[in-house]
Amino acid sequence: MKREFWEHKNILITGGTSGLGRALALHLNEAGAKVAVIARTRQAINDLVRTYPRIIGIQGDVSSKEAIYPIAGEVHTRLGDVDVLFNVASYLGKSPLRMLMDTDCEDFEKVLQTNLVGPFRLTKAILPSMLLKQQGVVVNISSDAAVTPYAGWGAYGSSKAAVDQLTAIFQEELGELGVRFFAVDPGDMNTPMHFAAVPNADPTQLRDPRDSARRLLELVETGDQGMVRRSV
Amino acid sequence: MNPARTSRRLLGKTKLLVLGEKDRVWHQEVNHLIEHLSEGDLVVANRSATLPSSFRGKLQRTGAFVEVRLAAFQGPDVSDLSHWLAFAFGEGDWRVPTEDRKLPPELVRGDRILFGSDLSAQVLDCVKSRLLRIRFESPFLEQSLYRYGRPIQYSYLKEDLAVWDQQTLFSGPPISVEPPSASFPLTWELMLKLKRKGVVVASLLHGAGISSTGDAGLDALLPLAEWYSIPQTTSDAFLRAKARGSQVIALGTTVLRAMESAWDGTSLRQGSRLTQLKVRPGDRIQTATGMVTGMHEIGTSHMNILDSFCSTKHIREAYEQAKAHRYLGHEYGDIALLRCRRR
Repeated sequence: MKREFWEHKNILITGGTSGLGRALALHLNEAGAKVAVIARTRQAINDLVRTYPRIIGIQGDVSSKEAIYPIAGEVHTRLGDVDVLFNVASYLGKSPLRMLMDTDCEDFEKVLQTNLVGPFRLTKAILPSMLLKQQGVVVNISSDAAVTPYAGWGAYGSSKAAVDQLTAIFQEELGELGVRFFAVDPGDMNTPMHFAAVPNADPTQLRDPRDSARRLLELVETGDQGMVRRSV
Repeated sequence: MNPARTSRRLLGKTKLLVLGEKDRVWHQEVNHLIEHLSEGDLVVANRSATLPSSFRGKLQRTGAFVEVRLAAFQGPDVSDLSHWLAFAFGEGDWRVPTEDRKLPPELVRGDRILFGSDLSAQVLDCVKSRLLRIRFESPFLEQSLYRYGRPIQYSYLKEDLAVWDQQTLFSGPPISVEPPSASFPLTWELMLKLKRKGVVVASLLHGAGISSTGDAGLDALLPLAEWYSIPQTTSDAFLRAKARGSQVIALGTTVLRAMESAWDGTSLRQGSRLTQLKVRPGDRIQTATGMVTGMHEIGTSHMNILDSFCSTKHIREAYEQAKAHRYLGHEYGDIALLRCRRR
């Protein structure tokens, strides 16, 4: 990681208290960036901030429309204008996973609200300062389930496929205003979410989220102008 | 002129009234704004978001009800949302005409007003009858402001405004108490087209204050001291536009107030400060060559600023035409571009 790239940058991470989001937050905090994480519970935030007092914890549920401007308002006040936004918070759906025909409509909607509509709304609320400055990066976390139709991953896979397209269209529309968008598949990681999906997964076969986070940050550093969808 | 009664915007369909040189008037839709701008012209936006600014609480000393309606952000910086000017109201809500509402309880310096278990305000000063200087206190201030604050409402709208309805496409730090509404009908699609044409879009921050209290005595105190901040990049863009002889268009009266306040005779001073500036009839505007504003401003109350761009006669005639063309007024209505006075 290039410290000189991240130092003094304002970084916003949703789902920043566990798994990949937490790994990103810790790497960036270490690299001298100003980091704010959004998480649903005060407890999760307190646990992180107690150990890493430089990290700003913002409580909010990005899947709720009403929560978006309170979150954005707090971000602009406590963090400042965002240089890089990571939309990491994801919901798998009810565990154990079930076929689409056995998935409740409400649960399907909840997955879309968290994984797709939430990032859309938060991006809308955070992006204006990037567009006015004509610089900034938005990273949305995707999955191989966005392209491979795994049985049982219907809600999650559909939401991530839509995230890929959301990201690609943002890039198409706003690329000439200097903002860069990525949809990144971080690989199968040793995270609570993966074990919720595959309870008997072999942890030795899973990647450490810190490793995925480092690769992802290296991708952003390159200023790469290639494809929107990436695997790291 | 009838007000727009809904906050739902017909993007691209908003009417645009243009007042140009030699008493010319155009009636167009907002996307035609681009036809009036050329390569090198500068458009300046207020990128403030709007905070829900009406708080219902009780006076700790007596338990009496008091509504605190934020009137203007006082700085010193967007990283601290504690300090505001505010008006106090008594029992009732915004649906009750102000003159029919009860007076607020007597407030004295040092009083504390409680809004909930995690939000209170201390009265730092009673500036004038019901105009207070306050400081909010909360362990989680931003969250508490959004939890207890309600958007300032307009009696002409059919439905209550939600926080989303108050934001413009440029919304950033939440320091306005009412929306900088001239930007409401604009879109990023239009901003992109402006960029392709070589028009420069720059921004500043100005904490738009309360537009009206419903009480003539209180309204006479407006506009209050408002906080603004101009970044170096905008200051530089302004000088370049001036040097080129290009147009400088202020998106809304808040932008004009900030720019005129920052004008030091040769440049726009970058940085943050409070402004007490009141633009008076006949004042010569030094910074903007034109302004985009809501149709309500063309009505009567803010004529003094508009007079600085176009003649009163020109404005009156255009306004009468707009009424005949069924333009809609107020915050969520149609807009006008005034660009009569050349640099």
